[in-house]
Amino acid sequence: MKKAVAILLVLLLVLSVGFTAGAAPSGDYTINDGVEIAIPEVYEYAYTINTVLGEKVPSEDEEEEFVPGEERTHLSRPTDMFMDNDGNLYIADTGNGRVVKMTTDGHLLQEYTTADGMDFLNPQGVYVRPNGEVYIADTGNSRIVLMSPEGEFIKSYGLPESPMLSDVLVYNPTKIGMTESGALYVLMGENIMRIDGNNNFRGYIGQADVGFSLTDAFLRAFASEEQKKVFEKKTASPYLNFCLDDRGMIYAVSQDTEEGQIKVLNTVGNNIYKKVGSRASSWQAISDAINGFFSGNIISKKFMFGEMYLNKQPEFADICVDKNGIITVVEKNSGRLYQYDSTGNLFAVFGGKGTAQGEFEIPASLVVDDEGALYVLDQSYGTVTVLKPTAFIEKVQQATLLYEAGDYEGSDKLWQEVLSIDETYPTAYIGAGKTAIKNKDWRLAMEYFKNSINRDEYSNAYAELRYEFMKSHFWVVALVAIVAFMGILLGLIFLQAKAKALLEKFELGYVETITLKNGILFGTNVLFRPARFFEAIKYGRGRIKIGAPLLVLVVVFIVRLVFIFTVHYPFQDVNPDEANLVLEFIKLILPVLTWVVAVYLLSAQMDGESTLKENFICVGYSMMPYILANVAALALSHVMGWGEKGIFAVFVNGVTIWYFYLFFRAVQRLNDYSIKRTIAVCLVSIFAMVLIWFVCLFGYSLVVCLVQFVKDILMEAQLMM
Amino acid sequence: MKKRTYIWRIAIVAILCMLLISQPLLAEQAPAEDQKPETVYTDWTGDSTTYVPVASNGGKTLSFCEDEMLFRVEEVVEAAAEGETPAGRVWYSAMTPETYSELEDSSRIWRAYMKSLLAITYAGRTEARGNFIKAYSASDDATIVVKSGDNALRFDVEFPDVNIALALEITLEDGNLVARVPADSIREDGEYVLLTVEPLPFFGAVAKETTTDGYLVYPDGCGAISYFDRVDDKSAYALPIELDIYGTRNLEKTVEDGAGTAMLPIFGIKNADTAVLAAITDGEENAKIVATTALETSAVPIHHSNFELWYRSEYRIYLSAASTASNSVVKKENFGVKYDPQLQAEDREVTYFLLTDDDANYSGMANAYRDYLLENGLLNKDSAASSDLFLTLFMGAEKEDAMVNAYVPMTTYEQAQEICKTLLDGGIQDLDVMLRGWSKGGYGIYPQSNKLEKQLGGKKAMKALNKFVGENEGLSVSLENELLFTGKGNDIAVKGTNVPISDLMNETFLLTPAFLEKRVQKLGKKVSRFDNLSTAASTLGRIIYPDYDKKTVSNRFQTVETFKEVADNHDFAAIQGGNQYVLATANHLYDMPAGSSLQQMTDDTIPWYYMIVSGNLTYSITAGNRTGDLQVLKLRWIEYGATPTFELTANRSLDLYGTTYNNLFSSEFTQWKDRLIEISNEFNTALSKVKGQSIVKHESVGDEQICVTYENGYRIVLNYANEAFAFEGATVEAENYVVLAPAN
Repeated sequence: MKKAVAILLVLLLVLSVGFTAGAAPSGDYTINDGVEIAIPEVYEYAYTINTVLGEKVPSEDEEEEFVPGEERTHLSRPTDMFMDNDGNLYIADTGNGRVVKMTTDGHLLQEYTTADGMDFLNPQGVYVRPNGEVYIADTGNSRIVLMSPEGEFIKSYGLPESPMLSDVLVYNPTKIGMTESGALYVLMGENIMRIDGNNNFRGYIGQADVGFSLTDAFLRAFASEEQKKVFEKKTASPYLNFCLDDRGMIYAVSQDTEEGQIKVLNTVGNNIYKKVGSRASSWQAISDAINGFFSGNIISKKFMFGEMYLNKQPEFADICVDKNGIITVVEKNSGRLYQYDSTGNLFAVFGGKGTAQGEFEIPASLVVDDEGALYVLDQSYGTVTVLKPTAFIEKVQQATLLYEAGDYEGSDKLWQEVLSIDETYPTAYIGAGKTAIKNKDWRLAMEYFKNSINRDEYSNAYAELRYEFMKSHFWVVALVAIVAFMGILLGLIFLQAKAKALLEKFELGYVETITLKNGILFGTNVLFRPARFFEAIKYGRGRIKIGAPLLVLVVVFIVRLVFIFTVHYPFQDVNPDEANLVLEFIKLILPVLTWVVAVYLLSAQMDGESTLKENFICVGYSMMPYILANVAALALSHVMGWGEKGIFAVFVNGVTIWYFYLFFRAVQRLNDYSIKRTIAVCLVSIFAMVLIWFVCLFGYSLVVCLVQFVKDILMEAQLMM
Repeated sequence: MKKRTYIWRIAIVAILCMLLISQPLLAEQAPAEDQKPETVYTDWTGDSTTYVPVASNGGKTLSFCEDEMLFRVEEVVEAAAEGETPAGRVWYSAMTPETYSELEDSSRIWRAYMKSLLAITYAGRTEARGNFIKAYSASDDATIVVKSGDNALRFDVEFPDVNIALALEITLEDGNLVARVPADSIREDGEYVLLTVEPLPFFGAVAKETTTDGYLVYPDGCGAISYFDRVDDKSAYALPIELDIYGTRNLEKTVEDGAGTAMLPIFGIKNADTAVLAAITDGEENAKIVATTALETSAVPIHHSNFELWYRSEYRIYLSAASTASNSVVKKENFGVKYDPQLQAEDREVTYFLLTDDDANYSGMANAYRDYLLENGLLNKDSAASSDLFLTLFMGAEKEDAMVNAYVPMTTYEQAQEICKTLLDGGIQDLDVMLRGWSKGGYGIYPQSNKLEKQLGGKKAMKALNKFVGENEGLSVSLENELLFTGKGNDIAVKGTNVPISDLMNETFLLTPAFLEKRVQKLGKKVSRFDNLSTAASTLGRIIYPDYDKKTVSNRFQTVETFKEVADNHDFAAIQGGNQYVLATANHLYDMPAGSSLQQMTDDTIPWYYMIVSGNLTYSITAGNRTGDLQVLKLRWIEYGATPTFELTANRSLDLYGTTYNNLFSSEFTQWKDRLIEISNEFNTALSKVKGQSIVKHESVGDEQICVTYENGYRIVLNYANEAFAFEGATVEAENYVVLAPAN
């Protein structure tokens, strides 16, 4: 238990990294299976643009014109940044009411402060066309302005006229982007809308299915009309920012936990990026349980973009995509950057909140240049931090690109180089594994996928290996399977006959007592003829010793442990390294024991005839199917891949129904209840079980609180002294 | 009658109590033995309008002007040619009136601060919220009595409103200015207590307007620099640098990694052709360094640095424990800060090394400080200081498992021996190996066990290793012992609130300094028979902390004394961290910082620390297998004069997944073997001329090119760029270096 609490604490306090002697100097990491793994530095801090050098002074012909000057100015609450094809930066210097164009070393090239006779007010977005024309989201003035490269006003766009926008009271465009064909995308509030060249509204884009919320539906069902109006109108998860690539794809970050916070939308608005976000609806627990049941509780890779920070879902401030499709996002609260490949594999996590250079307070915008250097705009410090890729991450990116280009040999060579630097880097194993699959080296691929804890891919490689084996050894395999099947069948027939004989002898009194010696054989009757078996227990009161059923429970527990440690890798439901004896006992044996107590207590109140011992004996024997099914599942798992998880689930979880049924029959037979009454007793027993646990937990936490209280008082008293 | 006996009894008990309490107090206040002869001071009688000479030595003169309440140190210059006035350079004790009279915007308080000889902070005796007030010797509410003595000045400063008084003694020793705050001069007679003293807060300070040729240097990490001419190109939110000397004062953070700390008690200010290196030469464990250029956040446009000497421990307390019992994040207002009733009144001394011309730069400062350390026996002059490779072998760690935690062996004792043999056979002549996590249970078990781990081969294998070491002269093997970090127990240090000092997880605690000697002996007990093996001391040179446990009480000063004593008693082969107190005895420093913390004020990282200790002992920074770019790291090793270092295992690092030590990238020895031999042999041959030599100069010779000069005149030019670099006729290939012999 202590261990479990400790693990939980570790998860909660990811920040509280304890002291390790030679900790990695960079602090960069990747996440695999929920565990942070230190990796070599991926982006190196290069420099910060703290100030903009240059000024705008009147030139000879008395018109305001840009002249390079010596004045240095700070950016004030800047919110957006764009890099043009020449590698110049455009920054929406929101607090100063301007947009600046500057070189990447901070020299001012142009300043846009006013358009159409109106000074910019809180401009929050900037986009530059390939011809140098600049779109500025003049947020405070509710307009989008098109300017010439020289700063001349060209055109201004207000809120498009459309019946769909009739409920927009204040037009506040923030981020803007444009495709080559001239479609303008504007982030307004929390939606991305598309506008054509004539400022006509062409619809919202990438609206996620708002989904169904159980609590919401429940509330609505009982709410009055007035109350319903109070409920917030259900909307799609809000978009936070977006950017466009050369093909017109929209890379967006949102707060959508359903599909994932990072989306790649094609021109019709469909998300084509890996839809593997963690669900956070009220259905979560139920759907998890149902999915778990039908897939045999297999550990499936939980995926989410970014990570929880201080118990909050990630909130990405901006996204950028380089020419090779590698996506980088920056998280607002933690200041961390996350880099993914074009299929959603995490490369690295770097950056972070702090006061040092290369750290951020409130990152607002992110761009990447042709060399792969990242520029991070910090809204709070008013600075642009430049991060350069290290040789390590360049190798990783290159290896991915080669794979995508079909150069598997080249890709593998690079992945091996990456692994020679960092043998524990999971992404490299996934990459190398994929290449191994292309090279039809299934065993190698399996090893790589195992190293990266990727059960999904492992299973695919295994399926290939098995297919190949089957192809070459089909007749042998078929023969062995038939023989094994026949053997098991005959064994069961023989077993049931022997068990039946023993049961009959017991009923007739030829066998006086059931001890540990003959108890197991006796107990197998529960598998074949449960009703008669429970009757026998009832009428044979006092003649059955408790040893055998107890042994069954012990074996159940042992089977569980053996299962955890030896089940085929993809079918693990508990990581053997994280397995916890106490926890397994609590999950498996404790409920059974509580059930015995609960049923006995209740049936004693409801004209029941059974004793505690009898209840225990019945329940103990009723767990026999568990042993049978799990041993079978264990054996089968070694020839199954993930594709057959349904069959596996039948063995592992389907058996639960079987022994629940046995529990039910035991209650009925032992107490001579009618079906209705049995159901009632069972239901109340479940309630009683919950009650028992609740009382125990309650007592425990009371004691803890009391201890804490006394401690606090003592501490206070000490401080008073 | 009965009543009277009662009173008697109380009286006896009271007397006994008083005796008991006073005993430790008396013992603590016993005067130090090795005191210099006392200077006799008399009231100042000199002319009040001009600068009257007080002392003259080392080519400099100290003089004082009473009206301005300023003293200055002036360079004595040979009589100049006819018609020219000798231009000796001058250092003033504070900002001169000319400087601050021009600063119209600066407030009254800042004016007072700038002309003060010292500033103090004080607080009420019962303060519990951490509030304090700052006062300045040049402000109206302070009185100063000036006295003079033999080659010395003394300022008796009193703050009558709060009844606090102290003295500042100024002397000139070998041309260096020395400022002292004698312990016995401090008086706190009223309701207020003294917290900190800043002696000569503006000595060496530079007004922004006067020059752009200069910089501040400070020992953040291995050293950092902030240039005057780049001060305008800083974030509007850049803050001053604050560095606690030897270890953070914030006990909540002691166990975490030590950011915001300094290993040396020094800072430097370069101002055109002069420079000041300030060093606390007495009482440095209770102080911090504050450095600030004229940032946007600064009140005055002046680049200045100073020491803040602490006279009281402070500790955080929970003001309302009950309201913090919930799971919510502890609210800030629930914390308070209390000050220790006990004044830590050791003598404090700051020496200002005054440098000019070619020495007026951070190299010159490093040379001056190295000389000072060597002269005073504070730096171990290890003539045999050389090593071709410092190899850490990670032996094993624990992994959480179902029943009991499983042990993951990474390198057995026998494999360690094999590795040493392979490397020696490969031609490495001077090999230092440290075994990390060698003891039972492996790395990270607190307190560390002193038994051998059976799964690593136990006694027999260790014996064989010991024999092997004895047979090979160039090989030294040490066992790393965790000295300060420990598990929960009776021997842990506590805060002023009697709560143990620990990490956030409450898993790692700190050993009471008083028990350190005992622990070192205990850890050495079982392995002492392996006479060829030595020990390495983990964390000893990395952090200091006080202990408030009534029985084992130890303030920062006493803790340092204990650490020094332990380092002196046991000749550790290597020490983790490089706080100045270990330098007198250390042979090798490991896990040293490879950079600075890059605060926003900082422009560059410089190997200031390494320049100071170079040539006298060896040190190692980042391990070669902890980087994505070994070639660049190799250049860094050479630039810093560091020993090549790796942290390896016999098994593959993937096995460490799930253990407490899953931060090694690739560490399998067989994979690294060839690189190791290649690099160490390269260091042994190409760099043989600079072995055991001190770095006397470090300078940039290009955007990404550095030139390092050694005391014997050899130079190394390093090129970090991706293109070749031409330097004085030599070509330095991309990401490579050349060694240049001295001209003659």
